[in-house]
Amino acid sequence: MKRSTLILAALLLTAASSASAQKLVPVKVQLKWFPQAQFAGFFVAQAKGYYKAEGLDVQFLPTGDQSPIQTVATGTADFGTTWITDLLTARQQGIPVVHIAQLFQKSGYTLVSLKSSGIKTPADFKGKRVGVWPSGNEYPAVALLKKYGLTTSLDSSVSNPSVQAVTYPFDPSIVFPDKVDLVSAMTYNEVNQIVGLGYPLDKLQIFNASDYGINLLEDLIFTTERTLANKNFKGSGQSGEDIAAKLVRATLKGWNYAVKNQKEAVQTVLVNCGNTCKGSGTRSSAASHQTWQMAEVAKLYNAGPTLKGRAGYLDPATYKANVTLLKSLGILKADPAPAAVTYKVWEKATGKK
Amino acid sequence: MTALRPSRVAGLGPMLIVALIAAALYWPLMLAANVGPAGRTLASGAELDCRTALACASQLRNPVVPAPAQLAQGFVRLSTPVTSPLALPYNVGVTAGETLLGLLLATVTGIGLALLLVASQAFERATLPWLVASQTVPVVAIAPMLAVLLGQYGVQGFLPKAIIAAYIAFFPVAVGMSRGLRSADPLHLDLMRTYHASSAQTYRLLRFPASLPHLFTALKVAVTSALVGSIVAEISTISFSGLGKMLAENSRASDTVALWVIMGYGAVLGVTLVALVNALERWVTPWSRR
Amino acid sequence: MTPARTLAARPGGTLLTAAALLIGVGGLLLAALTLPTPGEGTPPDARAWLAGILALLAVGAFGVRGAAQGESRAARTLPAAFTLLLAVLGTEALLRAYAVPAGLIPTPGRVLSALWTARSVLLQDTYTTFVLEALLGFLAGTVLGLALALLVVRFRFLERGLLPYAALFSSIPIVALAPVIVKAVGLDWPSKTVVVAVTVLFPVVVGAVRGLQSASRLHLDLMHTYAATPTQTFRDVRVPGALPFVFGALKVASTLALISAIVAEFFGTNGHGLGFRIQIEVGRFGLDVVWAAIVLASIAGIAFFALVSAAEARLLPRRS
Repeated sequence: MKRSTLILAALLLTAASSASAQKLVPVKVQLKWFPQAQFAGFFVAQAKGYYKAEGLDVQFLPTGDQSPIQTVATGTADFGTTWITDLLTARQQGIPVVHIAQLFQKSGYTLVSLKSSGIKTPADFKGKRVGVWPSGNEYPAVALLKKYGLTTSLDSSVSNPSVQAVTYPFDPSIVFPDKVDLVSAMTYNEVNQIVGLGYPLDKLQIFNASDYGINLLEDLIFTTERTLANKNFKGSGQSGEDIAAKLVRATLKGWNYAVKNQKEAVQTVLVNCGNTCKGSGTRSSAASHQTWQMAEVAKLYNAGPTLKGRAGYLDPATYKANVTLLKSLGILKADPAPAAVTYKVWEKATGKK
Repeated sequence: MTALRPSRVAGLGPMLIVALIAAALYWPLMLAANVGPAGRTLASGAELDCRTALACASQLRNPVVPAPAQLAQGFVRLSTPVTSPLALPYNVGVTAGETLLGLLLATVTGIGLALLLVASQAFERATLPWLVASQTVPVVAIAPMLAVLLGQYGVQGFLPKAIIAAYIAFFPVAVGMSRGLRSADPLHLDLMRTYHASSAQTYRLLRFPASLPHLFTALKVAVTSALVGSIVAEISTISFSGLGKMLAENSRASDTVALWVIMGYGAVLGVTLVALVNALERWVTPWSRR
Repeated sequence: MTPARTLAARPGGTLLTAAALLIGVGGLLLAALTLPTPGEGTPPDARAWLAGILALLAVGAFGVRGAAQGESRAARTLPAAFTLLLAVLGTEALLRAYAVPAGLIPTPGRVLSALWTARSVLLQDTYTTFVLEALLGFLAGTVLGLALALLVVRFRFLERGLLPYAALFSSIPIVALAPVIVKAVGLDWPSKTVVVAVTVLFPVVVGAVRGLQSASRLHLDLMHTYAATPTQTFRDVRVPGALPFVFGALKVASTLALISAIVAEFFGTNGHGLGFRIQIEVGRFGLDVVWAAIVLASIAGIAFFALVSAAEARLLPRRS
C-alpha cells in the first residue's frame, strides 16, 4: 500500500515535471562576446538546470558585429548583456532599453604599455598611439583621455587629435607592441594574452581605468520597455517582468555558484566554447586561460553591493557617479530618462529592497 | 578559359612548374617577411622560446606569412574532426548552402527585374540608375542593420545571409539577363511575328533560349559575389556557423595561421562554386559546347 | 515600344502626369512634415498612415510612369529623379509614422543634417578611403594587371602556367583576404591600397588576356600580308580588340575597389576612413553618421563608375 502510494507519487511527480518541461518558456539571451568565463554564471545556471527550475528554456545567441543593444531592441533576443555606457548612449539615441541587473560591480578595463616605453601616467599619453576596440567598447579609453584633456579621431567632430587612436579587431597581438604604445586590455582576458606574447607582468605598465576615477560599470543584464510591459510573454501567461525576475534569479544563482566553485565553473565554460577559449595560442591552453579569466572575473563580481549580499544590485551612488562622469565628458548630453534603470526586477528576483 | 581547353593535358606541365617555383620561393620569402617583426619583438624584450630573429621567424605566434609547418598544423587543427560543427569542412558546407540559396534568390530576382526592364521602358528609366547605385552601397556596412531588421521577424540563421548574398548577386544577373533577352535575332523575331506567335510564345521559344549564354556568364560573376556576400553576412550578423563566423572568431580571438587556412578553404569553395555553374551551363546548354 | 502607346498619342496625358507627380510628392512631403520626429510627441496611428503613404506612393508611381513616355530629355532623366524623391520622402514619412528610434534607423532628414554637421571629418574619411585606398589601389592593380597580361600573351609558357592561377585567384572572396593583408602590411592606409590592388588585379589580367587574344585570325593574317611589324600588329589590331574586354573588367573593378577598401578598414585602421567611421559610429548608435558615410561612399562609387564609363566612351569609338 505504502509502496504503491510512493510509486504513484513518483509517477505524478514525473508527470508534473515533464508537463512543466513542455511548458518551458523560450528565452533568448544575447551575450556580449564569444563564450568564455566572462559569462561563467550564465553557463553554470544553464548546466545546473537553474533556468529549467524557473521554467525557462534559455538559448544564448552567438555574438556578431552588431551591438547586443540592437539585437535586443529589435526583438531578435529578449535579454542581453552589455556595458553601461553602451546602454545609456543607446537610450540617448531613443532606443528604449532598460537596465535590470548589474553583474560586475567594478570596471576591468585597462590600458597596457611596456615599462620600457617610459609611460608613467595618463598625462604621458599625449602624442602616443593608443589601440582601442571599436563598436562601443572605446568609451573607457575615450573617457580616460578626455579626463586628461586629450582628443582622438574617435570623435566625429575632432579633426586634429592629440592622441592617435588605432582600431583593430580586438586581439592585442595584432598591434602590440610595435604598432601602438598603449593597448586596450580587460583584466580578465587580454592582459593574459599579452603575457602570452612573451611579456611577463613585471615588464608591463597597466593603467586600470578604475584607478583613475573611470569606473564605468561593465557586464549588466538589460531588456526593453516593451518586454517588461508585456503582460503575456510569448504566450506563457506570465508577464515580461516575471520572466525577467526569474532569469535574473537563476543567473545570480549561477554566478554565486561559479564564483565559489571556480574549477567546476571553468569546466562548464570549456564545454561551451569552440575555438574562442584558448586565449593566447602557443603559451597557455584554453583551460589555463579560462582559469585565469574566472579568477579575474570573480574579483569584478565580488565587489561593491555583492559583498553586502546584494549581488546584481546597481548601486545608485555608483550609477550616479557614472552618469555624472559621462555627462562631464560630453558622451551623455543630459541625464538619462528614469526608465533607463528599473530595480523592480531585481527586487522581485531577490525579495530584497 | 575556353582558350585553355584544347591543350588541357599539355597545359598542366607549366602550371606544375609555376607551382613548384612558388613552393620553392615560399620558404625564403616567408623568412624575409617575418624576420623584421621577429627582430622587433625580441628587441622589445619579449621572452620567446627562440634566440635569434631568424630562428623566431618560422615560429611567430602572429606571423606575417606563416611557415609551412604552422600552416600544416593549422590545417589539421581546423579540419579535424571532419564531422565536427567546429571544424572547417562543416562550416564550408554551411557557407556553400547560404551562397547557393542566395544565388537562387538572386537569380529569381534578377530574371524578374530583367523581364520588367525589357518589358517596360518606364520601369527601366525610373529604376535603372538606382539599381546601379545599389551596387555601390557598401553591403558590409548595411549587412548588420539588415540582419537586425530581419531578425525581429524570426528569420535567424540561413535566410538573412542568403538575402544579403542575393543583394549583391542579383545585379549581374539582372544586367546579363536583360542583355540576353534583347539579344534575340531580329530576323527570328520577325519570323515569330509572321507566325502570329503570342508574346509568351516569343519569350519561351526565342528570347529565353537566346538569353541563356548571357545568363550563365552573369551567374559566374554572381556566384563569387554571393560567396563574398554570405561571408560578409556571417561576419557581421549573429551566426552559429560558417566560414565568416570562423573568420570573425579567429580574427578577434587570436589566430593568424587560422586566417590563412580559412582563406585557403574560401578559395577552394569559390573555385568549386564557379565550376558548379560551369557544369550546370554545359548541362542546360549542350549546344554551346561545340 | 510602339508609338501608339506613347503619351503623345493621349491628349491630356501630360496634365494627368504632372498632377499625379504633384500629388505624390506634395502629399508625402506634407505627411513627413506633419508627423512628429520619432521620440518626440505621441506616436501616431501607424496603420492609417501606412495606407495613406502607400496610396500616395502609388499615385506618384503612376506619375513617374507617365513622365517616362517619349524620347525627350526630360523623359529620360525625370523618372529616375522622381523615383528617388518619392523613395526618400516615403521613407521619411514611414519612419516617422512607425516612430522608429533614430538609433535603429535614422530618417533621411537626420542623415542629411549629419552629412552637414560632420562634413569636415566625413570628407577627410572619404579622401582616405576613396583617393588613397580605392583609387591608388585601382591604378596599381590595373597597371600591374595589364603588364602581367602583356607578359602572359607574349610568353606561351606563362599563359599555360600562370593564367589558370589568375582565374583561380579571382574567385577568392576578398573578405577572406583582407584580414591577412592588413595583418601583413600594417594598419595605415597602404594596407588597404594593397587589398584593393589585389582584388582589382586578377579580373583585369583575365579580361585583358581574353581581349588581347580576341583578335581574329583573319585580321592577323591580313596584317601579315601587309608585312606589318609585330609592334604595328599589336598596336593596330590587338589593343583595339582588347579594349572592350579591359573596360568591362575595369567597370566591375571600380565598384569592387571601393567596397574592398571599406571591408579592409574593418580589420584595422588608425582612425581614418569611411569603413572606420561606419564601424565606430554603429557602436555608438550614431546611425545618422553611419548612413551619411554610406551615402558618401555610394556617391564616390557612382562617380568612379561614371569616370571609367566616360573613359571607355572616349577611347572606344575612336579606336574601332
